[in-house]
Order: sequence, then C-alpha cells, then structure tokens
Amino acid sequence: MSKKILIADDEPNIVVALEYLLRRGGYEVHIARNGDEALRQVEAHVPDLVLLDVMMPQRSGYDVCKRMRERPDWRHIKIVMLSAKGRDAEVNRGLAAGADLYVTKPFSTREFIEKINGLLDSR
Amino acid sequence: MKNRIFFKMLAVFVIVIGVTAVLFDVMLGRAWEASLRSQIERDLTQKTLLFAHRVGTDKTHSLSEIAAQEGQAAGARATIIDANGNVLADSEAVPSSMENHANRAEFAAALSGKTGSNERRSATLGIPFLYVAAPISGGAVRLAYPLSEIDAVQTEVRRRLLWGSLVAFLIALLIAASWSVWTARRLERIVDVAAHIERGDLRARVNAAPLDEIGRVAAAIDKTAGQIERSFAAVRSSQRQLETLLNSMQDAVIAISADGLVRWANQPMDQLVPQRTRLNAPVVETIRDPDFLATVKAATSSKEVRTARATSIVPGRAFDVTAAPLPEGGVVAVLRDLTETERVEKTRRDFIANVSHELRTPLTSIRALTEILLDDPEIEQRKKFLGIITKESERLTRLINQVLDLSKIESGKAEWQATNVDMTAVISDTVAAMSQVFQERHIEVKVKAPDRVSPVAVDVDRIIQVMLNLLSNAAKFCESGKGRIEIALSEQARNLRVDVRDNGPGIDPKDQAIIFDKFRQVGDTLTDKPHGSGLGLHISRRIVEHFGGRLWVESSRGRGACFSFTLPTGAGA
Repeated sequence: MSKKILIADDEPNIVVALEYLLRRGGYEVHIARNGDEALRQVEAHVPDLVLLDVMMPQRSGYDVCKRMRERPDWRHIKIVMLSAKGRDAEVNRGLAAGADLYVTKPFSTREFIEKINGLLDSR
Repeated sequence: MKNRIFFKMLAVFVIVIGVTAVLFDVMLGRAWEASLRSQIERDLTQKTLLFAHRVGTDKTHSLSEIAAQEGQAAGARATIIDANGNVLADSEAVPSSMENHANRAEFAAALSGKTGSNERRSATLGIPFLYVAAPISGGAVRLAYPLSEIDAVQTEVRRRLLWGSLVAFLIALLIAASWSVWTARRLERIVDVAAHIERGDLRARVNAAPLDEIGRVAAAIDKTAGQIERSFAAVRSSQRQLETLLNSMQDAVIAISADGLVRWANQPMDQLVPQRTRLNAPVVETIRDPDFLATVKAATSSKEVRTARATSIVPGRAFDVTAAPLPEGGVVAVLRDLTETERVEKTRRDFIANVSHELRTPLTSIRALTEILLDDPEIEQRKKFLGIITKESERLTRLINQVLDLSKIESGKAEWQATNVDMTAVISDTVAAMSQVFQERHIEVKVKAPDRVSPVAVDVDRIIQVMLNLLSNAAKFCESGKGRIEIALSEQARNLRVDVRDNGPGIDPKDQAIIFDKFRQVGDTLTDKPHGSGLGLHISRRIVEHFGGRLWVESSRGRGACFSFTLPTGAGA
C-alpha cells in the first residue's frame, strides 16, 4: 500500500507542483488549503507525512504542527515544514513546534523528494 | 569706625604739624636770639673801639665827660680804667667807690692788648650785662650793655612766633582735615564698590577721576569689574545656549554628581519621568532602572564612557544609555529613546522579510514546475505547467515593479508628470484592458459616467495603475459566474470621484484599515484567495494622495465592497 502524504499549502500553483512530484514518487496525496482544513484532513486520512506551509490563512503551520504533536496517536506522523521564510529563528521555531524537517522555498525537487523518501523509509 | 582712615590721617597730620611747629618755634627762637646777641656784641665792640679811640684822641674833655657822653650815646655804661685796673671814670658811678677791675675777664683781655667780652650778672645792679673792653694806652675802656632789654624783646618775639605757629597750625590742620575727609571719602567709595562687587553686583563702578594713585586704584577696580562682568555675561550666555540646546534635544540628559545626586536635567528628562527630576536628590529616586544605575556607577568609578540598554525607565520603552564621566567627578548620562528607532528597524526588517517571502513564493512554483518539465518533457500537464510558470513570472515582475514604485514613493523620488487627464477615457481604457479577465470570470461590468467631466492634473500612467489595481481587486473577489462590477464617475465641487463597487464577500470593518498597509491582505477560504503582493492598495493610496485626493473603502461582510477615490479638478482651483 502506498504511503499517504497531506499537502497543506494555500498557494495553488505550489500545490500543483508538489502534488505532481509526490504522485510521481508513488505516494497517495491529499490536499488542504488552510490550517483548519489540514487538521480535518489529518483526522480523516491519518497520513504518514504532512507537508505544512507556515503562512496559511486561519491557522499557521506552526499551530497545526503543535496541535498534531499534542495527539499521541499522531506521534508517528512525519511533519515537514515548508516556508518561504528561511531565517534561523523561523527554522528553529518550526523544529521546536515538533517538525521533523524544515524546507525553505524555493527548493530543488530532486533533493526534496529524496528527503521525503528518506523520512518515510526510516520508519 | 566708618571714618577710621580719616581719624588716622588726621592724627598723623596733627602730630606732624605740631612737632614741626614746635621744632620750628624753638629753632627759630634760638637762631633769632643768637643772631641778636652777636649783633649786639658786634655793635658794642664797634662802639667800644670808637670809645677807646676817642679816649686816645680827645684832649679837650675830661675822662669823666667822655665816659658820660659815650655811655649815653651807646645806651650803655662806660668805664675807663688804668693799667692797674683802677677805675678812672664811669658813666654811672663814682670811680673812687669802685673796686679794682683788673680781674674782670673782659678787662683782663683788654689789658693784655686784645678786645675782650664777657656776659654776666652785674655785681652792683644784679641784672645780666654784656661787657666789651678794648685796650687804650695806659689802660682800657669798657662798655656794659644791659641784656634785660633783649630778654623783653625775646619774650615778645617768642609770643609772636607762638601765635604765628598756632595760626599756621590751625590753618594746616584745617587743610589736612579737609584733605583727609576728601581722601577718606574716595577710599570709602572704593570700599563700597568693592563690597557691591563682592555681593555679586558686577555693574557697580567707582568712576573716580584719575587724579592720583587712589584714582588709578579706582580705575583698576572699574576695569577689573568690567572684565568680570563681561566674562560673567559670556559664561551666562554660553550657559543659556547650552541649556537651550540641551532642552531642544530629543534625547534626555541628566547630570549626576559623584555621590549619586541629580545635579541637572533637561526638559526631555523631566518629561520622561512622571514625577519630574528633583535636583540634589539621589538619582535612584528619579530613575529606578538597574541597568541605568549600573552604567552610571561604572562610568563614575572607571572614568570611562559606558553604554547600556535600559528597558525599565518607562514601561514599554527601550533606551540607549550613554554615561560619560565629568572631569570634576560625576557623570552626564544621555538617554536615547530606541522605541521609534527599533520600530523603524522592525518595519524595515519586516518589509525585507515580506518582500523576500513574496519573491520566494512564485519562484518556488516556477522552479519546481521547471524541474518537473525538465525531467518529464512530454507529460500531458505540460501546457498547464508552462501557463503557471508564465503567470508566476508575471507575478514576480509585478512584485518587483511594485517594490520599485514603493521605494520611489517613500524616498520622495517619484518623478510623476502631471498633465490634464480625462478620467472618462482612463476608465474606458482600463475596463477595455481588463475585458479578457472579466470575460474569463464571467463578470458583468457597468460604467456610469457623464459625457464630459473636468480634467484632473495627474500622471496618467499612475492613475491607470490605480484603476487597474482597483478593477483587478474587484475581479479577484467577485464570485465567478455571478460577479458584477459597477464603476461610477461623478463630479462634485472641485473634485472628481470614482467608485468601483463589487458584489464579492465584502470586507470586515476591522480589516478595512489594514488592507491599505504594506503586505497586508485579507484572505477568504470560500472564494479564491487573493494572490496579490499586498502592496497594490498601499501604492494606489499613496498615488492618489500624492495628487491631492483620497482613497477609501466602504464595505460590510457579505455585501460587496466599494473602493472610492477623489482627485481635485484643476478648474476649481
């Protein structure tokens, strides 16, 4: 069974690119357009990995990440933060909120998919 | 006490004049007496010699007759003796009754051939006499002159001298006294002026005539007082300048003594602390910030400039404290309010972070989709992906242009050429330019405009930019398929007004103010979220305001939004 990945990002064109990349990598992909929807989708599908954009309407990626980490039954879910904000403070904030990885936009698609594969294989 | 110098001078003068008068009296009396005596003696000697000559030559008269005549002529007693000292004739006594005169000092000298003189009391009359004897052949002659008359004259002379001296003394005393009064007054005036100066009245002057040393002393005091007054005025003036300068500073300045007391504070310092700074009170009572106090202490003890950041002087405000030691001990501390500086710095950092975020977002799609297409050039989404790449590139270009616009506006370097612009044409041109977007989204557009309106003096490209911004915002928020945009142009007193009304979701009143801020946008999950940079409305407002107009929004949730702007017409001016 292919692993499930949830993309939570409010930029539709980035979602298009990510969706294609991950499907091509053999993953089942779900999409959320904001923080609240992301939490609902996690609840509904319990993905293996969540790609979280930091700057989302209604609920930020940090917040979604924190809430997910409060749930013991979601402990196993890998969280990758995606952000166009790449300063150390923001990276640290993301990791402190419980993210496994922080990826700064724009990124190399090859490296990105390798990191995702790496995270899901290590389980 | 007040005239001590006067009495001293007067006493000195009395002593000097008195001693001089007495000495003068005594010496003059003595000199006069000596001169009188020698005169009498010379006179008497002359007469005695004539008497002797007559005794030797006159053969017609007897010795007694000659003695009587000579005695009368000389006003003296005349005596003739022989070589043995026996009296031969006398003008006032019988010769036979008189004793031998050979042992009288004057006769003894005369009998030995010389003129002799002696002064003594007469044995017969008991009064002082001057005796002068001269030799003759076979004896000697003598004249005796009573000195009692001299004494009488002398007493009279002494009396007159005394009176004269007394009068001279009194006159001298009067002159001395008046001179003393005058001098004492001049000195008093100097003392008085010196006392004024001592009390700080630097305008006091002696203004004495430069007659003598006192006058010169007075002039010197006046000159010194003048110099002190000028230096004081200069010091005060520079002190006032310094105070004005310190008070006009934005930074708070406080001077603290080595023992920690407030010596001085400028007005910004006073305004900083609510209870105001109290002079000569411990500084800890005015400023309770531990960082500030530590810095002041460190600067005091190390004699070096110390700086720190203090945040508890005023709640919610940060200060940059610079404490510099004073040469005579203590420190001057300058407190610079960093709140505004830090706010500006934060705004700048936020702006850069926002711009970089807005640049990175489209770049992310462009890079990812480009790499996908490089890997799989023949995929079916190829055209869609290329379309996205193009759109995102346009978005990047738009953002860069907007940032450049904003930079020009904010630095005041925007070179906008105002020409007379017909807003009717601007509206129809911009609606035409947007027509493809409207068609794609099935948006119905209505324009209500009078046939002719007054021209406005604006940069036409900038006003087109504003119109396109408002139209694309309206299109973005319109529900696809049911969208309607109404554009109205109207002319009011001295103003043209443009309204752009959409039937989108509307804007919450709390959001209506922030949508004009840089990088602030309001998203909505129910519709397509806006993908602007968050700069468009801010720039539009700045442009409209630059040309003397206003740009605002009226809206409520669920009932669409109406963006309006005004521009002043040249005709009304």
